[in-house]
Amino acid sequence: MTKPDPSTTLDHIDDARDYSTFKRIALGALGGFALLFLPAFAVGFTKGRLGQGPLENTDFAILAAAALLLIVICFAVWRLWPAESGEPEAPRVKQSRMVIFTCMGVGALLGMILVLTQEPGVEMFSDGPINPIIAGVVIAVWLLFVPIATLKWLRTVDEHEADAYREGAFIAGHAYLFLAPAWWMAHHAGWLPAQDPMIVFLIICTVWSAVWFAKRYL
Amino acid sequence: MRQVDTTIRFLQSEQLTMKNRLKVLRAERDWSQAELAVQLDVSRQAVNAIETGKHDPSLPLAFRISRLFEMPIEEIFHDQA
Repeated sequence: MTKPDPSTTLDHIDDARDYSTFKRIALGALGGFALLFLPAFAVGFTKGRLGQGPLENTDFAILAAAALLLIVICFAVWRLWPAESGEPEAPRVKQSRMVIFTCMGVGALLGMILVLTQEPGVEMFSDGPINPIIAGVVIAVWLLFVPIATLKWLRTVDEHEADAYREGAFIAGHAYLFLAPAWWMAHHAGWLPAQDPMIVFLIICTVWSAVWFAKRYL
Repeated sequence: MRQVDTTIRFLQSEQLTMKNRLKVLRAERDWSQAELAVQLDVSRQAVNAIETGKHDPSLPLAFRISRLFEMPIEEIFHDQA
């Protein structure tokens, strides 16, 4: 019995084993939203209620419901995640994922600290005053932990992901090159408000992440 | 005019990607992308990107692939020029 010509069977090669990119995107977005929004809601709600007096039973019930919802969503995401179960992974893939999860954990912790210590009447995403001690902690984490974590992550990822990251940086850099002077000029012409560095920062981060994601997963 | 043609040909050649037989070689050994990825110490996405021509491997990775399949690089990868 002769072996079939592999070139004729190319279409039948199982190259994805039911990996679903869009299922991952949807579940990842749902899980990320739940992880960010529900703890923030719980913290904000508790803080707001404590300002009016001690917590009541209905408050505890609302907080319990939020916690339950978070657990259910996390469990659902974990169970429904497209099965790579049983499929092996290179050690570097596990390491890079651990670095990302650690960064997400640190980010969520900082976010909660910022919400909890926020001055009364000051929105979190505003230019209002921040407690100097908290600001010092956040700056220290941003300038010490984040660069080290980024370096560690870059050393663990494979060349494909490193390429995606570099291309994201390249396009994001050009986005900044075009956006920042155009906004500055538009402000001087009276068409736009003064440039907000944090908005520019968020736009650049979004472009960078979008390019990285597209190169990596699509 | 000749200079323009040369430039266009250069740009076109820059856009060409490598073709490769990775998918076929993997199938012959009945390996999944994930299994191949572990042997090459890369992610499954990297293997998929190489197979679909979205990512050209570096020379060190191409040599790792070559050693793994016990074939010369040029029997696995070939350009489209």
